[in-house]
Amino acid sequence: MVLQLTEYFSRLLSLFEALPAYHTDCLTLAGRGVRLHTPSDVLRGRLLPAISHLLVEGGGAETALTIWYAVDADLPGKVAAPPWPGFNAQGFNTELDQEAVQIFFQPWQRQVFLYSRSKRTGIYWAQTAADLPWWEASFPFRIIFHFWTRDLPAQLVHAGAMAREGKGVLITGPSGSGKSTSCLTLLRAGYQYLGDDYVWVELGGCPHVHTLYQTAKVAPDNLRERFPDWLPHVVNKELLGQQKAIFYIREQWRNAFINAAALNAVLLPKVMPQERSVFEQIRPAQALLAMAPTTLHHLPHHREAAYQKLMKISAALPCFRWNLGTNSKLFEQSFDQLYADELS
Amino acid sequence: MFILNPRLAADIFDGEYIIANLDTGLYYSVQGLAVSLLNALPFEDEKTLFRFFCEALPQHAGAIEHGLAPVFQQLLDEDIIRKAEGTGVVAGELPDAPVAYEPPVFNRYADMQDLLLLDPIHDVDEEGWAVQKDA
Repeated sequence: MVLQLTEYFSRLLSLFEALPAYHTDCLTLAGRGVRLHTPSDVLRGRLLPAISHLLVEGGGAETALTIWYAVDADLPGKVAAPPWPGFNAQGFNTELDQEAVQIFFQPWQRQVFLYSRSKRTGIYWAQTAADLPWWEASFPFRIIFHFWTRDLPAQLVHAGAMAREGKGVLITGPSGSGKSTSCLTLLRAGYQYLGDDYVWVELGGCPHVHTLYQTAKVAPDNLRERFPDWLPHVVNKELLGQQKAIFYIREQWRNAFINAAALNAVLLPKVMPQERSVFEQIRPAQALLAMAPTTLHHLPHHREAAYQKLMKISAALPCFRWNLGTNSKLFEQSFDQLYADELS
Repeated sequence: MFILNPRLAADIFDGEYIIANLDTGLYYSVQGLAVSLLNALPFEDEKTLFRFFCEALPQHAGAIEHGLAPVFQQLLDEDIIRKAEGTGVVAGELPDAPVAYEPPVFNRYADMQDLLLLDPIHDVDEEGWAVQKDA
């Protein structure tokens, strides 16, 4: 008899529910309470720093999402691999009915993400701590947060977000478009930072952006060229040859780090061979065509619903292409000019 | 009978059709008179539709004849428009006549597709987990 996805989820959940003891950490994410339960000190130590700014003492808001996470050695039984064929490189399986339970599984990774919509409960499991990919620690539980947004007026967006005096902008585009470098350059210049890779956009009413992760990742070459003075703040110095440099932004730039801002525009950076940085207004469709492919590539589940939300964001906000020049002073001036001319 | 591929997300966005094939990672933008062509779906026969556009904009008839047919063919080639027989779908009324000529434009965005189609094959151990091959 073929194992159902709901049954697979129940089996894993029963392993967690049989635990005699575990840690609980409470988060508030966009005003909603999240409980994280784990028996694993190692995973907790690796995954929590990226979301430590969301931690709250004493419970916080009512629980809207529960996440259990562990490695095999912490659990009273072994976890078998998802038995179904057909998972693609994005961790998605088009053959499985994922209405009640969603699963993310890349066949070459020994880790699984699951989420039950009715229980609003996610599970993250890795076979050993060594099976946790380094990048997973920079955006922990991203897939489970995405599963959760299916039933919320909210969307994860592959974008940075910066603000001035609480007025936020999304800075989006594919990897390599200049998104992260723009955000971090603005951070250094004194602007408010909400994220440079993935952010949470709340769509009920006027769009707001919420910070999701306090981690910034910078490629070693980019670090040497543009941010050499940040080297002392790199948290994974010993692994720089194999990984991007990771920074915990809130811990180093506490005053610049904010948790939420009203959204006022979508910006699409584009590196150009020119000195000046210049904004030009673009059609909402152009913003959608930049934001949707890169976001949905990483988030393959319930793409139709996510795509509709990305359309809503693009349609609700003025959109600009940001032609990035080489002069950093003029780059900052262009950002100020945008606020003065278009967002005041 | 020509219909819009029901597997696609297709929406008018500020006068432009944005079409997403969320399975393959292909995105398309359709502008100008080609938007009117998509709005006319489902229809029986493209030639009747082209004639209708030419009659509505006689001063641009030549441009329409030369410009719209290739875009229609691209829409067919990309399986955005598909020919469907015996589906019970009934052709709609002709759309409102266009009042101004805007050249039909079709753009295809395939940046993400190569990444989406990666699908490595792996050996698995006794519990079903992938086994990393030694380099």
